[in-house]
Amino acid sequence: MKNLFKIFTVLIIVVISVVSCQDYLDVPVNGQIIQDNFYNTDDEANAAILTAYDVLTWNMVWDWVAPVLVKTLPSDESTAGGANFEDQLDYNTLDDYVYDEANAKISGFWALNYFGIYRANAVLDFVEGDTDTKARIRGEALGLRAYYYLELVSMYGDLPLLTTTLITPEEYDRPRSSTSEVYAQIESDLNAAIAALPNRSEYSGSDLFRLTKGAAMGLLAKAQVFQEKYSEAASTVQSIVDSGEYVLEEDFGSIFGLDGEFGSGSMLEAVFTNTESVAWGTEPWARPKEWETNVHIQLMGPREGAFGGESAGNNLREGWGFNYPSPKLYNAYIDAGDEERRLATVISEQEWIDGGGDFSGDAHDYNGFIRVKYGSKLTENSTEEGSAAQLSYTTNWRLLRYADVLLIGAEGAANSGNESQAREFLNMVRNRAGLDDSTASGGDLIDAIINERFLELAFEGFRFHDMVRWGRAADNFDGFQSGKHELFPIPAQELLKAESLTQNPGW
Amino acid sequence: MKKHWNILSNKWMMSLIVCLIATIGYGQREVSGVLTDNAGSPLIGATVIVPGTATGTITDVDGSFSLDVPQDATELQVSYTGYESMMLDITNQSRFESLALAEATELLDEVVVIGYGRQEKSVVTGAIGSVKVEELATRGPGQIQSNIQGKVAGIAITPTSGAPDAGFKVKIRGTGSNGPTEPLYIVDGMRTSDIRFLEGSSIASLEVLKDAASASIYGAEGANGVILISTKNGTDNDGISYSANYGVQQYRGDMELMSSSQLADYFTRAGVADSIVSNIDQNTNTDWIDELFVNAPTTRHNLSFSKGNDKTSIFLGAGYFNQDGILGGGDISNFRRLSANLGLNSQVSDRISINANFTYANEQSRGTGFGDVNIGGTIASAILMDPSVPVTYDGALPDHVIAIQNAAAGTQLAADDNGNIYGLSNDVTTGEILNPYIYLNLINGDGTKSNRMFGSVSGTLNLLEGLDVTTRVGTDLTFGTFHNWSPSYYANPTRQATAASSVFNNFNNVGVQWENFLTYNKSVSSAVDLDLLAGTSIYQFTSSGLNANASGLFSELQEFSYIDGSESSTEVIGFNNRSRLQSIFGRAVLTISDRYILMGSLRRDGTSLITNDRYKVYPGLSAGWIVSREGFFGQGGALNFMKVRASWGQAGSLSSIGQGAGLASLGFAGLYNGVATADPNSLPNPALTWETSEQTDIGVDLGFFNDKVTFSVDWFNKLTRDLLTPGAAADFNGNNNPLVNAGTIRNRGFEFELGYRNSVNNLKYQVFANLTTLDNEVTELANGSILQGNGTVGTNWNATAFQLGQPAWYYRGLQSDGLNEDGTPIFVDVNEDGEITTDDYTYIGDPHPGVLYGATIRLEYNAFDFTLFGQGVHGNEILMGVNRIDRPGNRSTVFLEDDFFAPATSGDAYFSDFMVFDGSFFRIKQIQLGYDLGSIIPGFNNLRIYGSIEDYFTFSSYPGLDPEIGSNSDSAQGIDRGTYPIPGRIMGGISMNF
Repeated sequence: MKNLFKIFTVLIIVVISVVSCQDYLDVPVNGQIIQDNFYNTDDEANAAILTAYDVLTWNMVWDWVAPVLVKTLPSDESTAGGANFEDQLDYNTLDDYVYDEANAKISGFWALNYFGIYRANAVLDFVEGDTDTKARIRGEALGLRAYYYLELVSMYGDLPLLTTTLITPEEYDRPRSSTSEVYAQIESDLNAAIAALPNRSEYSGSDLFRLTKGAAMGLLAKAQVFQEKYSEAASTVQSIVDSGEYVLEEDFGSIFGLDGEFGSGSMLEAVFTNTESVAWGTEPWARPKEWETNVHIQLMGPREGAFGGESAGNNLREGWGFNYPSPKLYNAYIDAGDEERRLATVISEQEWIDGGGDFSGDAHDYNGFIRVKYGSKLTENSTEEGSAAQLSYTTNWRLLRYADVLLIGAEGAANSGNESQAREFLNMVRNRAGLDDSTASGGDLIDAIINERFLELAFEGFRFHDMVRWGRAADNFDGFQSGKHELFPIPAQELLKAESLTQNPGW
Repeated sequence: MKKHWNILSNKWMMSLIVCLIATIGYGQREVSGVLTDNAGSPLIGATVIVPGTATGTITDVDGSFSLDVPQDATELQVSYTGYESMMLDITNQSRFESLALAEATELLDEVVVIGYGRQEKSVVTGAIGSVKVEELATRGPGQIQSNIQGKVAGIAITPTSGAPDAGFKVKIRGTGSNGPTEPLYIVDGMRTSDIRFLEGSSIASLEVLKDAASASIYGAEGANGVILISTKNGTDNDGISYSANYGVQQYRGDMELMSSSQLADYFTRAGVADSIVSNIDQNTNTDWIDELFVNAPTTRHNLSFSKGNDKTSIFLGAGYFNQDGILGGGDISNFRRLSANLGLNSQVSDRISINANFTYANEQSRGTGFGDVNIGGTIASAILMDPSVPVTYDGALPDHVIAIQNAAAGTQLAADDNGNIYGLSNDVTTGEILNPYIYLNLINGDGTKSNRMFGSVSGTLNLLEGLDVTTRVGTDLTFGTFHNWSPSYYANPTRQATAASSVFNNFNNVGVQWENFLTYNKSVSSAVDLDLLAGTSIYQFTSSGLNANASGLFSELQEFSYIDGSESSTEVIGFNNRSRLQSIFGRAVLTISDRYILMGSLRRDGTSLITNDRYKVYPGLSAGWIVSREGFFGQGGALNFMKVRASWGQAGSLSSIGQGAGLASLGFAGLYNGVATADPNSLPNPALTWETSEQTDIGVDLGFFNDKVTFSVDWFNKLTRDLLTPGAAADFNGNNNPLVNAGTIRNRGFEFELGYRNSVNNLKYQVFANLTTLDNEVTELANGSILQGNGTVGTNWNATAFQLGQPAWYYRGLQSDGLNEDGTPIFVDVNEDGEITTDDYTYIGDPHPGVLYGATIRLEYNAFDFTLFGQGVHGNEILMGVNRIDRPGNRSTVFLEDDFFAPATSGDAYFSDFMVFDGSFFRIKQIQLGYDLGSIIPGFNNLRIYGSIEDYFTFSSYPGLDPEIGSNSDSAQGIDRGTYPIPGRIMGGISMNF
């Protein structure tokens, strides 16, 4: 009996120790990278920041949503196109100002930028700046977060302002912060990024896609102009010029080719590659984050069937017919005598045909002109075996160019009374395009800068917001209603999910 | 303590002396008597034995017996099925006139198994259903669940298909989740999720814990109910039993398919192009359903040995079960189980007892998943396939087949074993709709083979009077492989393989459980009994394995299909997941004056599946009042027993939560600048927890006429909260939504069970009937969201949804409103935008039956016995999802001849309630006639032969193959994508004890 009680006592002790042992439930979760175990090494930090960049190219994740196209279509640069109005309906409604709060491009553009912000926030939450590389990566994350917020604030106004990923379900609903609060965050992030980031010249060639001190300053200048902090913007741009880090490419036509990627005037690009080649039948429709090529270039080629294959003389082939240039844009180049930039931006139907192309019949939304900038160029897709030409364009989106920043500087200077500085910035851009110096002043100078942005930056997604902030949208955009269309509507689904959100005026 | 031992030793000594004395007086004498029931009718075939010996006899047609017993025999045991057994004191008496055996009053004296214990049924305060285990061995299906179907109120059991190895969806008291709703199985104290290994004849008892107060002792896994099974441990009746049965299964449906001429006529009316109509060869008529289903055998053998005395009992059993499938026969679909089990119970000393129950099962199965495929299922193909094509071509090939052969560019057309090419449609049916034999031809190899070792050992130590401590270790081991290979073939551009391929998977599941508990049973005073339980439990489950697939076999033979390196390409994926549970639990039962019963329990469970808030506590409370034991309750009235009971409790469900759920984790989401990225998978939800169900149950048990009639009614209301649903975070939060606990589902209803047993002269008859009403509704879901299930039908109709105010996973599509004059359907414009689009999708049907019922009639007359058992459901709907919307040529079921499907362009009809049918059915599950030859042939205690027909007659208006629609998917129940029908069976069998 004593033995039995001994056994019993031992059993009780063992049982109590096992049952009360908290560690018993700590079982490794195999096959998943747990956040708590990640973000430690330089390589892990790098993989994390790459995701924050990658979102710039997630143009297929919310169906077809390329920010540059979403921002371009409401402007007077182009028409939507496609097979018909129903083809990519939400791109078409955007173009014709018949879009509503449920427009999938508007909600996709919103989501894309916020997904970018989340990934930048993840780096800022979890990567410590304890090595040079990690400190720089934190700077990149600050710059990227500012970039994404700048995209959002210029299109939607007041925004939910999130600066961390540590969100509990109770915090899923939050109100919008005012535009000025958002800009304050953008400026603060950019100033921190400027301090943390190297100059472009300090990066090796394979790192040129990263945010630089100069890019952060360029974004800051834009944010300043958007807030009408004109003199600050002018001085920011002057610092970029003085740094000597950027030089306008001599030949405007070379900028948008593959050879022009990360050229001397390039400040930020969204990078597409053919590392994972795509063929018909192997498209990653189900894994859209894994699209590595720029399929929108194919989407935006002249409509197949209508344009007869290719126009070799113009280095263009047909695509799916979106984003046709407007006659107004074409005429602006003619009026300005700006052939160098026109030929790199827009050609006429006759030029297409002269280059060996064909045009047989009608194409939806087509107005007689064919786009060259971001065109479906014969030489810009992979010729590798296993790659479909139409699916393997790798054209980078040029997100920030020195010329853009110079014109922002000109606008800042002109509006803050420093006209000579304004003309200096303006003429740098004009001269590169082979145009004479402008001597305009006063209102003419402002008009000259505005027209210069039209010619220099066509199809790069800036025109709509520029015209809105200049108060010229209603006069120039067919269908634009003042008091409503200045801002995109907050996506309808977001209002349903977050009750504290408010809708923009007019919606 | 020492003194105690001495007393014991003395007792042993005493009994030894008694034995010795008894042996000295050796000799024989005769004892005789007449046995009757209470009404004075003779009991024929009752057993009369001297306990502990082989000396015995049975009563004759007059109920008389006469037996020579040893001189020293002091007792005689008299027993008869359905009656209380009786001990006769024969020390001073040798002649017993008119011995009346009392009928067994099962309701009062049955003992039911409850969590970590047993309880007399009369004092049970929860809702516990018991299944008569004697019936388990005589039915055709080899799996236990099919034998619970229709037997217990409140349980809906649906086979996932009629395939031999198909599993079951077991729903106790409704669909309590948007995810899995399987109950927890506890076999001899060991938990498991799969009881396919169990042979019915090895089971001693089966109980279903339905209410939360009974199930909450199983805490985090009790939310969907608990099924408690005990396997046999041997009895003190020595004996060998053998039973066997054999059956032939056949397709019993009556689905009519169009003939070639009907199809041509239908196509013409439907406006299908002449070029296709003219391809229909009206001289050939193949009924693909007739061609596909064959008669298939099912065989079962069981042999068991049981021996015991008052110290030790042992049970050894061996079983063989084989069921071939009616689809293609045993080479295509089959389930075979070889099992051996051991039950051992021994009182090692007067304070220590040990118990062991182990089962080994070797299982082999083939052909899971037939039919439950959205597009391209074998059975859907048989339903839709062009009738103008023969199964094979035995002469010259038609021109269109030669053209297909040319298109195949060297890949062989699929052919049977004789090299005859399988019939191919001349563009009438296209794409995934094929000659079903071509699909069957892709199934080769070993299927799933596994070895299972399941069991537990326990030891109980008696510490003080009434106080026992038990430790129990259980294991559940499965080691198995899955193997299949498919040859290269060509049928059409959609269905072809230019190279042979093979899959060879290996899986290992290891569950280990260790439980320790104290039980204390004490009469505090003459009127107050106390039953206490306190215990601990830990459980670990590890699932690991490697899945390999290969293509380009060295040669298209089975010998080269085991991925031995000779293939042109191989891919291997591994997994190794482990989870743990850690629990403490306790229960107190207080019985006052044998009529007031109070029960309270608590369990605290922790799981490794989540990281935060790993522990939850589950309470259970119940109370009962046996009114009939009150003094004021008049004796001798019609109502002899009455108990009122109520219970409330909470239990959880871990099955809906995955490993690492809610954790912040990262995955690969492509490259940037050619370099791999690390992408946060979704918003984390560290607060994520598992579902909790809370249930209230109120019940009344009544017994009339000395329990000849028993009646129980229960009302239950079960709320399952914290359903795991996708979060509703707005996109500005910056990532995909995590699972969140947002949703409640309510199941409520009534359960009725009626029993009636009586006898008239030699005829004994029993009737058991049960009926359940069920009402299922989603009562909470975040922000008006509509969850989409796995109910994809056709190419792009997501036909099931989970939504506030609706039943779980109801059918959602277009609602019709009659037909236009030209026969085209009219649909309701729900959102009134002037157009019929997917935005007009609305409720069009409910997959859940509102009423479940079952009834058994059992008759015994002398040595004959007869059983009639039927089961049905009412009020549910079936969505016929076999039809291909996008391919007009693939519509050949007869009922589609109705005008509303013309012209062929009105495809919206296929997304609508035109495809929803009443799913109510009543099925006669069993008609069995048996005869016991035991009284005729000496040497047998029992020798019964029987014949039955099972699942043979079905009453239903559903026009498909079978109204009993199963699916593995929890969110696509009731969708018929060409479900493998439940076969009817004609069975014959024998069982004997000797």
